[in-house]
Amino acid sequence: MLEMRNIRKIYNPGTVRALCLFEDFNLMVPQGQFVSIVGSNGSGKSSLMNLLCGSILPDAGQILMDGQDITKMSEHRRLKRIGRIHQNPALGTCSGMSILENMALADNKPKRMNLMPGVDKKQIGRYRDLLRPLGLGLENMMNARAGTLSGGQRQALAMVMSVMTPLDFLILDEHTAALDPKTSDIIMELTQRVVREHSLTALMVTHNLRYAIEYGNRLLMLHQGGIVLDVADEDKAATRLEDVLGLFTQISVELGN
Amino acid sequence: MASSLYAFYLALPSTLEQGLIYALLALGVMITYLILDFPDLTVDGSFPLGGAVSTALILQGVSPALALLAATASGMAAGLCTGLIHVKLKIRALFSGIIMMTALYSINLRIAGGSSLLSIPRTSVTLFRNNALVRLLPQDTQILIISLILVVMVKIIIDLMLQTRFGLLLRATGDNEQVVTALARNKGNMKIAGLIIANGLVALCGGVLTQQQRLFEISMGTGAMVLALASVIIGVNSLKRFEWLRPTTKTIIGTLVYKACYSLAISLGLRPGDMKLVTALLFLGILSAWIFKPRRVTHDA
Repeated sequence: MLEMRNIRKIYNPGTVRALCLFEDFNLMVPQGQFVSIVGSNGSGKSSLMNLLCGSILPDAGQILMDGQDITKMSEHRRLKRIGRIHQNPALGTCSGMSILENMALADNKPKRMNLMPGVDKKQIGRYRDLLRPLGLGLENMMNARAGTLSGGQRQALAMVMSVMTPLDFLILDEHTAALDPKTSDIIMELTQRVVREHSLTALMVTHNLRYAIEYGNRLLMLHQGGIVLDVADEDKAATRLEDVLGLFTQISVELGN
Repeated sequence: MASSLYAFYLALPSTLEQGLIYALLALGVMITYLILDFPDLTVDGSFPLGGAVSTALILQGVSPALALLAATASGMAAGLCTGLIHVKLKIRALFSGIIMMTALYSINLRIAGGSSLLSIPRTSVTLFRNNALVRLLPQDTQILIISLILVVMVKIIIDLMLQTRFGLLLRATGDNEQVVTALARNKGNMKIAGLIIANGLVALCGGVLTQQQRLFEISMGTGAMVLALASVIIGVNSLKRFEWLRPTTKTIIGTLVYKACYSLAISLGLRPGDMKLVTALLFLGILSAWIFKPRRVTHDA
C-alpha cells in the first residue's frame, strides 16, 4: 500500500516564480491496484512519481509504504521495493554494458555487493528464458551492448530487469511515450503481464488516454495538483474514452488552451 | 635525421621502462575517466603524494615494498577526501579535484620535510636497487622486468575487479547512475570507492617512479593528469576497432605510445622545456583525429 498524506510541494519557493503544485494532497493506493494517471502538462503527474520514488522531497506531509513512513528515506533505499521505468528508454539500462551484464546487475540487486563474479554463468539459461517471451530475439544476442538496441528493446529489457528480483511496487513514468505505436502496444502488454505475474501495485502515468482506459483498475485525472477524476473497479470499467476525453478538453478550455 | 633515429633507438629501453611505470598512473586515471566518467584532478596532487611518502620512508630505511604500500594508502586517503567533498558536500567533480590537488601541494611539501627536492642515495634499498629480487635479474633489464611484473599484476587485478559484482556496479555508475539507484545502491558510495582505488594506483605510481629515479620533486605532479589522460585516450581511441582488447591493455599500450612520441621528440632535438607543448599538440591531434567521444550515457534512445 502506498499512501500520501497532506502533501505540499512548492517549486521555486520565495521567488516570484513560486508555484504551489500540491497543497494538502492525499492519495491512497491499496495493495494490488493498477492505477492509470492522466492529466495535462504541468498537472503534477511526474512530480507525483518523483515524490513517491524520493527523487524530490515534499515540503510538508507524509508518504507511507505499507504503513511505514518513508518521507525522508533516500531514493535508492525506497527503490529496494519500487521498480521504476522512465520515459527515456536509455535510463533503464547501461548502454556500454552487454545485455548479459545488465541482467546480471539486476540479478545481483538483493545480493551482497562483494568480489564474487559479477556474472554467474549458470544463470545465463535463466536470463534467456526471461527474455524469450518478449519475442524480440534478445535471448540470442546476450553479448550485444544495450546501447545498440532500439528504444523498444531497451524498454522491454529494463522492464524484465526491474522484476527479476522481488518487487512490490512499479512506477511507470510515461514509459511508452518515446516509442512508436506498435512498440508501445507490445510494451503495454508486457507491463500488464508483469504486473499480474508478480501481483504488483502499479502506478502508470500516461498521455495515451486509450491505455489509461484499457489497462488498470483505477483511473486518476490530475489537474493543477488536484485529483479531478478518480474512478475504480466497476466505475472504471464503465468509463469510456469519450467521457475522459470530454473532461480533459473541458479542463484544457478552462486553462485557455 | 638518421642520428636522431639512432638516438631514439638507443633510448628505447628507458622509454619502455618509463612507459611501463607511467602505465600505473594511466591505469588509475583510466578508472576515474573511462570507467567512472569522473574528471579527477586530484591526480596532480596524489601522484607526488605517493612519491613524497615513499621517498620519506625509504630515507628512513623502511623497506621499499612497505614504502609503496604506504604510498598507495596515502593516495587512497586522498581519493577518499575528493570523493567525500564531491558526494557529501555536493561540490562539482572538477572543483573537488582542484581543492584536493591544491591542498596536497602543501601536504606533500610537509611530508618531504619542507624541501622541494629529495634524493635517495645510491646505497639505499629501493625496489630497483640493492634488494634480493634485483640480484636475481640480469643487469640492464632489472628496471624493465620489475616494472613489467608490477604493471601486469596491477592490470590483472583491475581486470578481475571489473568482473566482480562490485566491478560491474562500478562500471554501471559511470555508465548510467539511474541504474545504480534503481538497483537500490548508493551511487555516491560507488564514486567514492572508484576514486579511492584510482588515486591509490596513482600514488603507487608516484612511489615507484621516485624509487626508480631516486629523486622526489615537488613539481613532479604538474601535468600528471594530462599525461595520463593523453595515454588513456591514445590507447582507447586508436584501438577502438579491437573490441576484444581490454581497456587496461589499451591504456598500457597508449602509455607506451605516448612515451615513444615523447622520446622521439627529444631525439629530434626538442628541449625538455618544449615537451609540454609537444604533449598539448599530441593531445590535440588525438582528440581531433578521432572524434572525441567520452563513454557516457547518451540521453537519446
